[in-house]
Amino acid sequence: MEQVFWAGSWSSVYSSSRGLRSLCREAVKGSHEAFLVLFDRYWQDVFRLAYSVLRNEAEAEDLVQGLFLEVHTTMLRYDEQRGSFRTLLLRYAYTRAIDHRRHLESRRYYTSVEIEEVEPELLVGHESPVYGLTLEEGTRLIQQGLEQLDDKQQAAVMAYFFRGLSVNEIAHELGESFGNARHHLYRGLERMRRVLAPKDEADESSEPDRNAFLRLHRRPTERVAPEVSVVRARSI
Amino acid sequence: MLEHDRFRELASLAAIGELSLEDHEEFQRHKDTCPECREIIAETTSVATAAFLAASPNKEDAALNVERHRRLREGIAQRLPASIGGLQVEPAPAGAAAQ
Repeated sequence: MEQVFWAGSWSSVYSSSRGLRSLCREAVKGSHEAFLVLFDRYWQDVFRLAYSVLRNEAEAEDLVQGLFLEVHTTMLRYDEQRGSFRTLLLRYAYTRAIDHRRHLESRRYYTSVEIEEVEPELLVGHESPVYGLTLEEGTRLIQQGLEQLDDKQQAAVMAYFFRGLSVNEIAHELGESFGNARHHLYRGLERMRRVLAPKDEADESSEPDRNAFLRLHRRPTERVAPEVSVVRARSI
Repeated sequence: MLEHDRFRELASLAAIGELSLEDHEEFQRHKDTCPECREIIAETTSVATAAFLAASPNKEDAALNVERHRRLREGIAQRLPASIGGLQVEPAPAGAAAQ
């Protein structure tokens, strides 16, 4: 029988990439404890992302719990060669949160991927260096991206992501039509994508070069927006 | 606007869930045949993920977080199935659910 690590043993090794890979392998083999240590490591990232999208703590908690349970049932399909576990979780959490927000708001808006359960392709595939950044590194990156935008693009992007406003609400604030507000949001997001998500020319199966990516964007900064709007929370 | 410029815009908006039903149906047909638009979705999703994470509260209540972690962990530990994919899993040792 292969060695199984329980919580005490794992907690001392899981911070290394080798430890994380071992944890994932044990979880894939069916170790509840390894899976719970993965939960300990990543639940807060998932909760923060879900809360920022949904602006509702109870909904974000439900999403965290449901997501980890679903990921557990599909871990047999997890392929560590194609992307980190954190990338898997964040991509899945993002899609779930966006989809759930649409459902809550009954806005009949659609995400690019609609899923009833974890799609196999979410367990592999696109691995952007962005997913490997710490919260502080990601915040610095976003601030640098925002600085590249014109006033209206910046206003639309800030209102959408940092204050939780809908496109309709942004249009009202800017005194513009819905179409114009959505276009400002698109142009801002597109500009940030071109600045912040350079294509990884390396083999898709290789690990993204996180350090090279950070060197491109190395500047000190502070958190972008400490304020959190409750507008969406009220609207849902 | 060139036709594919419009699809690039729809790809970015799809990544943040801001397509109308009409746009969604039109874009889905195009996306299946367009690697560039699928790449735009993936890249925009990564940027939007970073933006939402950057927007998360930077002063969290530590005690509330500990309680939330405990509650979520216990809920998950209690609901983990005895097997996944037909594979019997190792039961967690007594007391393992509460960290």
